[in-house]
Amino acid sequence: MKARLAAALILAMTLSPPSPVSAYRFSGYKWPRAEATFYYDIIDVEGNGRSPGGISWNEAFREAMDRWTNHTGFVFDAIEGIRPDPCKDDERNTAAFRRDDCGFEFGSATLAVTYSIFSRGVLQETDIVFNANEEWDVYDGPLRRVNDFRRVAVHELGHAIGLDHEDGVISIMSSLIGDLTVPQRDDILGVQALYEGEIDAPDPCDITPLPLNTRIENQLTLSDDCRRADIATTADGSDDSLVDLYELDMPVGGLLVVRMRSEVLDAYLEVRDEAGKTVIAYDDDSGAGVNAFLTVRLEKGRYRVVANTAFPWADEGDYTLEALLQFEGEAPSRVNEDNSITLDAVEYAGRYYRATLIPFTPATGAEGRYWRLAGASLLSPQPDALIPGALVAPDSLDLIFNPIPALGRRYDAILQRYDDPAFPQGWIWRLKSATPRP
Amino acid sequence: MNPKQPRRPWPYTAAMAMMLVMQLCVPAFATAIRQVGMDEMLRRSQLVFEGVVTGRRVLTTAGGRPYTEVTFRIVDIIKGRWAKDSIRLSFLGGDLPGKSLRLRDMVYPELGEHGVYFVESTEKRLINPLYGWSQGRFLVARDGNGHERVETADGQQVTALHFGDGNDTERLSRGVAKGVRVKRQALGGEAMFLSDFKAQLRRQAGGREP
Repeated sequence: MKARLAAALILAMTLSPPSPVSAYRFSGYKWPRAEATFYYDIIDVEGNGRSPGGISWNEAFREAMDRWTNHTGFVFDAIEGIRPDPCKDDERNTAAFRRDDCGFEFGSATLAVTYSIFSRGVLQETDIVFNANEEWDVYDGPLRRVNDFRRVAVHELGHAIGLDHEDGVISIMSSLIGDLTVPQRDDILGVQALYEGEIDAPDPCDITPLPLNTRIENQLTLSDDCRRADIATTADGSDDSLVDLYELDMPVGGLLVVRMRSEVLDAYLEVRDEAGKTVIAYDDDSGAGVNAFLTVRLEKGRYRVVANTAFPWADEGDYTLEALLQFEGEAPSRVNEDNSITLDAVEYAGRYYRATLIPFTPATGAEGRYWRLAGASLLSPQPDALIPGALVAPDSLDLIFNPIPALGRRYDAILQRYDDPAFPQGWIWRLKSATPRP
Repeated sequence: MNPKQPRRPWPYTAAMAMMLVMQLCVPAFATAIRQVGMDEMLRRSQLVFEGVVTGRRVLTTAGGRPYTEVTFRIVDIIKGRWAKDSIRLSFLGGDLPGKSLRLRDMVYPELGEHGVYFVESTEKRLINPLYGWSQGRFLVARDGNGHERVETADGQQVTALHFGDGNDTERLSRGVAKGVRVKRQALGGEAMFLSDFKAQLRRQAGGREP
């Protein structure tokens, strides 16, 4: 089964759309300015203002408009509570459910239609009519048997702006619905090109300062409206999962530990350059379970941290985020004269221990510098928040110091977990790297 | 390589694989037209005919909206009844002086177009009278040897018709009905002959071959 799925995955990736180039297409008409107003009060033919899932049709349509406004700068204004007749050419754009279409029946296969009324290439009115004989709801995630009103609305509103279908790159204007729900980079470029000089695409992503050595509690939520597509360094597939962006100041160069933990998300972390254009380090599952944990050596400067999920179909939920660059912590580690190491506090699996490591020589005579755990005791009581002198990486069990004083200097050091066949029960580490702090 | 292609735990990899596989058979926006199967399309079309477009004009509805009336000379009726040798079909939208109405993915057959058309209803006025819009429109073209062969509305060779594929209402149309096998090439030896295409439709519809 695994092999089959792997083969399917390879096949799927082989058949995926080609890598990104701008390929947006125009329909041949546009609005006089980069703005349009929709008048609507959407109810289905049973008189319900809400979808079966409980989301109001108005709200879903407004969200669809906001996705264009927030991502592209083309401004959709909403005036709700007014229900123009989509069959009249009254220069009022509207959206509505109807059982027929102004004297024309939908037919057996038509779910929704978008009209564009224009003269000499200038749009005068656009109406979107949803076939009320069909089954509709509002939902995220993979398509179901029932039609997703909001997803169709986002796509149709792209037509209302003046974009045509584009199947060459990842795009909400693709003729393939897929799982996209927001405009992609190509769509944004298309709108900018169509309304050249009239709009600046806004940055939908707020950037929050990320203080060092502080645990941040936050959540990925739809209301943030910042998505991976907004920060894509390349058009990376159809992943438009939610992201939170943080700005991190490194006052000195050193080894930075960043970890993101969540009980509901498959945490995914990136550290990028200040502009957010280049990914310096990333991690998915090096933390316990599907938590993210990364270490990266950075120079003094400003960086961007991206908190995201590796599983785009479950992208809402609480998480904690920490960026650790410890300096002299409250419970530092130190190298003693006999080369033993004292850890006033080491964090392992969410708990704090006091521990001592002593030098060790492998029976195999393997080169390098080694230490083994000579003793450890759980701190009691357990501190609520402590900056420990060392961390044990959840998956690799590497021991991370940033920094540890030794020989009159401070070093960012990583001890790599070492399995000694002659000492199978022992906790032994080998010095992997030690870099002096400036 | 994009960094966000990380090592993932197996359940996520499996889920990702399945999602990607699902993308292989993705639905599509037309305007938003459901993909239909050949079975459904043939069974529910009132009239299926081979014809040639002989006229096209833009009129307006009582509400002033343009629609395009297309006249077809009927060459051969494959399914259904029609007493005249021509038929007029109305497609919503069109261009008038100073005013145009467009519907996404609405294609108005051109003058001289030769095709096989599935008409959903000869009595009702539909936005698009062809069943499943482009899905109900097949073009006829001559190959280098002068043989008439069949293409889909977007110019793909029709290599076979399958009527047992059923319908899948979770998918939207990409312009080709389910059950139509195609090969995206210049017209060549693999496209179905028009005569075979019609014969297969007739057999499936329960009629007799001429």
